[in-house]
Amino acid sequence: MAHADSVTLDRLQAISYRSGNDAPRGRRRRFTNALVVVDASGPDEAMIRGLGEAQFRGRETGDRTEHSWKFLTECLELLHGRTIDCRSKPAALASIASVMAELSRRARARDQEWRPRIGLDKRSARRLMKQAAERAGVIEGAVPMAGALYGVETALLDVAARGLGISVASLLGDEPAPVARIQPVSAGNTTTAELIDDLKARSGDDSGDLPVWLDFQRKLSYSRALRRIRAVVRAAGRHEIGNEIVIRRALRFRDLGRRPALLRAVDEIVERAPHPVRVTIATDVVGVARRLSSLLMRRRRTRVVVVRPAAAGGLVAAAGMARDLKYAPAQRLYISDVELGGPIAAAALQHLAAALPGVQGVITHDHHGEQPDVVDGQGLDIAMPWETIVDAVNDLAVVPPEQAIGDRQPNTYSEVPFLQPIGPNGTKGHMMERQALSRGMSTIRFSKGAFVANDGVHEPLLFKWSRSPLSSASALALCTHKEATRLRLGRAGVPVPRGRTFRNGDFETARAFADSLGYPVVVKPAMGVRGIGVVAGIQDRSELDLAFDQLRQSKLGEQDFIVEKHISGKDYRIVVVGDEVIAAILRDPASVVGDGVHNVAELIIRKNATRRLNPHLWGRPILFGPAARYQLAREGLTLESVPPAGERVLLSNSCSLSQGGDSVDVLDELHPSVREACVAAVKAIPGLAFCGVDFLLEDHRKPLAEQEAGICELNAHAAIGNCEYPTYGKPREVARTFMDACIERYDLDVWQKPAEQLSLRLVVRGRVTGVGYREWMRRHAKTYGVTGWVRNRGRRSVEVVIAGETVAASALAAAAVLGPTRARPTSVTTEHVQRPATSDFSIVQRAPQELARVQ
Amino acid sequence: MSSETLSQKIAPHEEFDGVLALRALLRAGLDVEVYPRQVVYAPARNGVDLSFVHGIPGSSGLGPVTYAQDKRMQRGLLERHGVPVPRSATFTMGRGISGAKRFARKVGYPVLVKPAVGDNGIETFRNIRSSGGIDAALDYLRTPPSERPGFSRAAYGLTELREPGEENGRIVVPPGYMFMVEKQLEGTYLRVLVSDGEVRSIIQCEGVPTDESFIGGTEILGQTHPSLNELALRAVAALPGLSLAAIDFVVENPVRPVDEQDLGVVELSERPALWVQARVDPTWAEQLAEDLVRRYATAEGHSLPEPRPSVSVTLEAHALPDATEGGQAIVEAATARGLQAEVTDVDQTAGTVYAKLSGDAGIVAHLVNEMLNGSIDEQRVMLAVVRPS
Repeated sequence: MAHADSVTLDRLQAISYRSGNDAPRGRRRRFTNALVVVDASGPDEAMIRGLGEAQFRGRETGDRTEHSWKFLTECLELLHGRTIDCRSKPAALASIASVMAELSRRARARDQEWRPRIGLDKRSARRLMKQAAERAGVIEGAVPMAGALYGVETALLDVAARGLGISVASLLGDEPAPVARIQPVSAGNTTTAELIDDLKARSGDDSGDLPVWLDFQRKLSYSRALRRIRAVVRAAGRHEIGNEIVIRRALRFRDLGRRPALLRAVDEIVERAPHPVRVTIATDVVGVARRLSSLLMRRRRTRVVVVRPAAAGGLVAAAGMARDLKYAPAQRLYISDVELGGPIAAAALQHLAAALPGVQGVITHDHHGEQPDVVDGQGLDIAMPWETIVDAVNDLAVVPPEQAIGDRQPNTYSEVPFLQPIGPNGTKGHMMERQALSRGMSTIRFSKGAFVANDGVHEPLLFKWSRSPLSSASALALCTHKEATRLRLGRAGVPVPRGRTFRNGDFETARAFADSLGYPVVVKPAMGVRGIGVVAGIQDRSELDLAFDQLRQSKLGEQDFIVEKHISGKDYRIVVVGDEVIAAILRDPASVVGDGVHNVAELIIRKNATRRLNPHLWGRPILFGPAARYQLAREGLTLESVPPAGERVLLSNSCSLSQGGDSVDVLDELHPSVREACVAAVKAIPGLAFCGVDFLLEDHRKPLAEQEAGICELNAHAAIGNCEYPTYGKPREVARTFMDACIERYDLDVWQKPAEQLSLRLVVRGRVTGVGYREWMRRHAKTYGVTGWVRNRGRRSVEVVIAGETVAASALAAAAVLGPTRARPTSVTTEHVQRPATSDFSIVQRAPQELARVQ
Repeated sequence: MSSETLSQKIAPHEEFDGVLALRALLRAGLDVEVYPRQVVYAPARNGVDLSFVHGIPGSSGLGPVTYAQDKRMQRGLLERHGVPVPRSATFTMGRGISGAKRFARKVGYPVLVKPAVGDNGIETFRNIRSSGGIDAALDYLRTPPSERPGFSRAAYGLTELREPGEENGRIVVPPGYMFMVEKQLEGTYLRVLVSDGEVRSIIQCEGVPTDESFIGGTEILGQTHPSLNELALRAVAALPGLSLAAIDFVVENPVRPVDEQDLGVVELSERPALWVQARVDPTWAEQLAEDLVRRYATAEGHSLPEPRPSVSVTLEAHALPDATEGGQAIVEAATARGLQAEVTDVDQTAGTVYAKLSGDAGIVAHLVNEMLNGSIDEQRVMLAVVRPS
């Protein structure tokens, strides 16, 4: 675009997304990043888009994800409508510095405000000491909300550079020059033997004489780090790996104080080594420890210095810090990303490194493809990484707020925040417990899925998910066998896709059978997985033979196979309790509807944002996997395509809600013959009291006799949330009806109507003391808006009293069985008590009042 | 045929109860439909069908059998009902191994290690006396259940839906897989069968009834101290909704009151597990099975005729991949087992064989079970309809 004197920040977005990988031994690393997207315009109204990436890494960047996200959205509000001076580089930098100074002040204020209150217990005292140590520079610390500030500043620099028509590197420095990338070997979550093997394999690469960078990831104790260094030095002596080794993040936080001892020990190891070897422990420099940094730089042993902009609060701050460092010629300076950063942050680092004279390299943990043009490019010279983030988005904030897309708006449910702590599958078990509690029953919970409900008079009822005492074990055993279900239903006169199993190679009989069924048919392996060898929609004998060939050549070609009538209907889930159909949804494959403005990726992100407001779907986003890629390619679209308003873009051929599908309530429209068939199917299985019937129908409003239709599966422990929380249409009270059936069957002594408010006493047993359980409960109680108290009862037991709305109080009772990370509750007993006389929630030593049990 | 030979023939214990229940239904002259994984329906002439899985009547609820298969929850309920259980704790494979060893040291060796969820009594490692022993047991349990030789899972058991893990190229259970460490109790094993609120059998075992050390035992029903019966009933009442249960006690002395000795419930299974009684007296196991079926039928409003020792039935074997071959294989297997058998019709396209069988009800039940589990010439029938002719 033409050079503008200033640009105005018109529209700002923050998109938080999960970034993760699988470490050895099933240990997953997961962090949250947030893209900051700033759309600005100059006098000619041409739009400039600036990108940045905020990185929330706990104490490494001074961020707590929840708080930093809140802060980041506040930043967007503050920046909206502001201008960036683009008359010159100094003017642009001054303009950004002024904004960032304001945001940094706010960050400090927010950090003070949101930081947990410090009590007087041991744990809090330790935390206080740690903070004091950080401030004194004894151990590391970071600028408050540094990771969030970093993302905002990068986006502003990108905007300004584009406004000036130069690269970010040119904006930050005078003579930018590209700098090499270095990818250290992650050595924190691996064994020494695995590490040496890995290094040996890499030493054959073209890395030549470059130093070997190892990242101990702050995982190792002093003694483990030293053992590992000895082993690496020995391997270098055997010429198995290169003889110049740089180690960063060598010690875990707890052992940082022993860093000088480590440096001395390493020097000794190197001196005693029979072969020449050089081991350098890199010094990471961070924002608040500037004085300490200078101190370190003067030390003889400081040879490699690493600056992390995400911890310094931005590129400008990091550049200033690097320039301030008075390092000696023998000392080398590097710029580093944080673990699991995305491509925008990687590009930003390349620009910073290019702008700073003397930087030896950019240390990057992950591979991010081509390097951006840091000399002649515009801004960061990188496009939105839609592929990376599209199905990993947690949250979206847009300023000014935008209109909803399309005519039909999906349902959203206010109880989502209460249900999230129990996980994406937590609703299945919790919803029945909520019903039990709301009718006055007491419960014992053993896990987030299993609870025992007791009316105090009759025998208790045992539930795990939707496995209830109402249905029999034998009913589930039959329903989980597809062929058996088909045979049983067929004998009961219920419509099922006709079909049967054939022995491997017996194609002649199968041909005759297909002829007798009538085409189209489906061919599939008898014990199929992931659709291997499945051919649907076979129209005639010649296509059938092709399908047999395909099956033979597939990985499952040795199996027996099934020939079945193909029903080209839509996919319905119909829930039956007893003799009654109580809910019905149509399941549509994942899709988005265009608005002529947003591209496919943006539409997916927006749709997933609404899915996150659905208790059943928040953990089941539309995924951008092979199925979605295939569907888009078939329609000649990419993630960047902007579909016209009203056009539906399919993203999957599966109707599964877990694969991003939508649910549409159709109960009131269901044709009576469909209802009758569902009830007949359930009655055909003795002991089946609750069932999700999977029905393929051409049209649920038409009589069965006038369409092709078939029941393909019965689910004896069906999900409850899919009909309770449909994407579109009327929610149905599945759990309530299911619990009513239990109450009626066992003639339970319960409250006539579900209570809207509950007062509960929980006794939580297990490893629940000394692990932050009470503080965790207090924090959640505040968020849930319930009152009461929490106190330790003994070494392995905590008592909690909560009073509030049924939805909130029962969800907190369910979450109590999980607790904070270090807790291991084994059971939670919940009973009804008098409402406590308190308007707050507090941690107490003794119960403030005796609360009588309510029957 | 005597059930001694029957019990010898039915090698997999987990199918024994199902065959005995089917035998009882055939002896009562009922029509039966037999589906894979030992699901049996006896259509009732006056309403409710009788149903069984692995010989467990339909009156055992899905929720309760799920609790019986989860040892942590089962123990939790037993303890709350005042039933003594050995000290135990569950741990995850991913993060709990050092905790498991600490726990073992705390409660003192010897300990047992077993899967936390699944059929009771299987894959239990006993006499572990060191942390090395725990490692050896866990090395076995680290293999995903579906890959373990001879592993079986009840048809209503929980399916593992989590992704398996990987260790040095070896596919292993997910990190969240749970196992239990339990203080090993010393004493005599008693196997107690409870149904419909009554103690039906107490076997004083020689060895451990759930492993190969079991060599026999004695029926001591009526000879134990009454407090033991009460405790057994209390144990079953802790898991309401089970129509029957087989409980393993370890006791010092079965005739002394329970509060005067160290004892504990070490297993509580939702299955009748009658192979234990069969090892002591095969006829007794058959009688118990017959009685369980008849009590269930009576409770559901059926009145069954007197049992008949031998039966003549028509058989429809459905969904055979190759019906002609399958029919021949069934007749050969039946004849080899001493039954009279003939194929009356074959529908090759539909995969259905029609046949007549006559002979001992136990052998017919056993043969039908084999048709369904695929052990007759690998012919796997998906439904067998058996009617008295």
